[in-house]
Amino acid sequence: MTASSTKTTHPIPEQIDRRTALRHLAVALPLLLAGACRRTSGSGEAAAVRTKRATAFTLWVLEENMEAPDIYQQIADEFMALNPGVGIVIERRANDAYKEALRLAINTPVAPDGFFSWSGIGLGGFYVNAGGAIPLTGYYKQYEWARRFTPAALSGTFFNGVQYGIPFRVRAMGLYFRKDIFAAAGITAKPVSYEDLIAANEKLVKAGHVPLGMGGKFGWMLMRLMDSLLEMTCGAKTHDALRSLDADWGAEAGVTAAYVELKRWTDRAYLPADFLGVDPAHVRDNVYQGKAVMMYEGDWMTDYLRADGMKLEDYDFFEFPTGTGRLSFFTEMFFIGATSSQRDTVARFYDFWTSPATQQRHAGKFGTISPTVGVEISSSAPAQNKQWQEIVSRYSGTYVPADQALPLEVFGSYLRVQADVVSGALRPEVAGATMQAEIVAYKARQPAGAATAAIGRKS
Amino acid sequence: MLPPKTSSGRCGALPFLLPALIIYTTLVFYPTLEVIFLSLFRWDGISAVRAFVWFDNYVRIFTEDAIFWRALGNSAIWMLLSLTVPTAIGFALALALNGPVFGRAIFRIIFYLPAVIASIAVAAIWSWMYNPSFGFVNGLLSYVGWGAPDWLGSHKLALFSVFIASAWAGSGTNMLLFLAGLQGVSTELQEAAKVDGATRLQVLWHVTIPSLRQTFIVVFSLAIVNSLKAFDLIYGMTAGGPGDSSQVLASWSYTQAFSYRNFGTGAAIAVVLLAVTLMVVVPYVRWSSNEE
Repeated sequence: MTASSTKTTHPIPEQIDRRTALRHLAVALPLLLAGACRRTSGSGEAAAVRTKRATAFTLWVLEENMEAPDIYQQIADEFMALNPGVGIVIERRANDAYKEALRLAINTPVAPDGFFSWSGIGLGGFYVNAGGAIPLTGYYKQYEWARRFTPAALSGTFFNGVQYGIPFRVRAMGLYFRKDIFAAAGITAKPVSYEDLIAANEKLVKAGHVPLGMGGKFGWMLMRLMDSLLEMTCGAKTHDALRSLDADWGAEAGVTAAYVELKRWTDRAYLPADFLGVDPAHVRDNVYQGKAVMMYEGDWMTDYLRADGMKLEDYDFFEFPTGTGRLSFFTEMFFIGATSSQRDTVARFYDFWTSPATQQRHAGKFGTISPTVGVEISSSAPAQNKQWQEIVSRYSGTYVPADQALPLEVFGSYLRVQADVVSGALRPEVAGATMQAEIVAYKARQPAGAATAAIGRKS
Repeated sequence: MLPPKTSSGRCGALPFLLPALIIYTTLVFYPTLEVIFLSLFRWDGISAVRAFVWFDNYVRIFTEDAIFWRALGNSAIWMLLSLTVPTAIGFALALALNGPVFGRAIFRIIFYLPAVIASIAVAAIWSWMYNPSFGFVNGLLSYVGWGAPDWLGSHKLALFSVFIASAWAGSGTNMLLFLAGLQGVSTELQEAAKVDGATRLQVLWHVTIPSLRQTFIVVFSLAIVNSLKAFDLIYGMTAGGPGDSSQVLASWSYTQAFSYRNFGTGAAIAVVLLAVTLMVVVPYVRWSSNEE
């Protein structure tokens, strides 16, 4: 096709000279300026919207599997009804996406006014150390929160000795199991000592079962077992010292003993073969299908069992028997963002949320165990919820998961070492020394005065 | 006839080049400089203050970080595999489907289909296929009486298992490129070679492959660049594990920056990755251009 056959009415210049170029620029510049002005006016509109919603604050929470999935919105609606003019915008994300989004947003103009996080240096402590959350000391005094919560719940709110979080839910973890398979294997009572647990494992293996379902991808599910083994073999005091990076992982006999035990769980087939590459999300299916008998989960499992269509009476649970009198436990908290312009309103909402009246009104709907003193589980709540509450009230001490206790980078080493021990790439006898070497290197990299140790008040 | 290049001609092109230049500078050049700049700091990604540490992050990754060297080695392995396996599969498929084969169009679609699936979906598909309890692969191996390896949980196998998924997803694109290239191969030359007594293998080696020179250059260039960018499948299938055994440079950079909040270290690894990419790609492109 030739140029003459086209319907082009304007001749195409063969060469654009400087004058033509300047003419193009003369046309382009106003257009660019117009675009810029439009952008400015757009910002003006956004500012107007912000002004209109000046009393609305954002709250970031987890997307989770609860009895009443919209419970956050329900409580927010109740608060807004009592406080005309206040708006609450709730944003939900699933676990890993939530952590990712919050880490990207914190300390920026799009950071939430209030947000959820866990206790410990590796999770909530990260935002505290980065200046992304404000101390709540004043609000604790103003609303007398110190008297509102159980000591165990309060223990996780301290970071560097200062309270930054307000507990809205506490979580406890244990070994859930299939009652029918336990009975068929001749296990008549829940294990109350580690020896009982090993004996139960042996019976299950003999009966052709995998005792503990496990998904090793990401490492955090295996971490729960490792945490409990360390608690058992090291004892509470040493375990705390290890986590605060004060004790020498390479010199403590308990550390080696824990890694030896971990290897034993693998070698004796207490864990599934080839689990290191398996997604933890598949473990429930394994247990439902009888391919594994137990799973190391938390009190949230009751909600999952119901959501998955399982019969609660087919499952029971027990605490991992460490012999130290401490429970695997963590606190979930609300924080106030450092960039928030509505701190007082957010604090007032938190006060409303955690008040005995609100907690009692929604008891059991957003967690099994309330951090607020005196809240009773309703008579219609599942027996497992009551059982958890009884267990939590029985324990005087707790230990949090390693991902909350250790600095992020040290936690990465923790996951790597446990995987290497399980796979046989690292002998259990040198695992402690390997951890210690990585901790020493980590400490050496930290600037003077940086918080390298686990933060929070010992529980 | 093209007009002679003059200074006014170059100026005339400027308004047309400006938008692309602005976009390129904003979205590519500036972020690259920012990453290089960031690699000289210690920063957790959210604090207001960054500490300037000169080249400490580079010293650290080269002298203290064993996982960095593992990731570098894995990236090299991944690149070598990417250059050979999907290229060979794609070429073989293209040769098979270039002639008058029954169901040719259907087979072309079937073999190309994995290439249009999002990487994260490919990761999910293959994670399920490798699942030791429910997976198709182990089920099949068990059915025929073979032992089932720990595909994603073995330190030695995990990287290669992920690569199989990558080859599955990537071979279709290579097949398409080779099919396009094969359309340009002179049938006269091939027939002449046959008349001269050349076997099919000799025709392939002495006529077809040399005629596909440009296609091979494109396929190899894409393979090098894509292999050094490898991240999504590894992150989706093993998250770099077990025990960081399947980390590559891109995933280790991400882990340092976003999991450990060492943005300076993560940026330093990204700069090394950039340098490695340039060291491999630039000489190759220059060589191929000169040959052309």
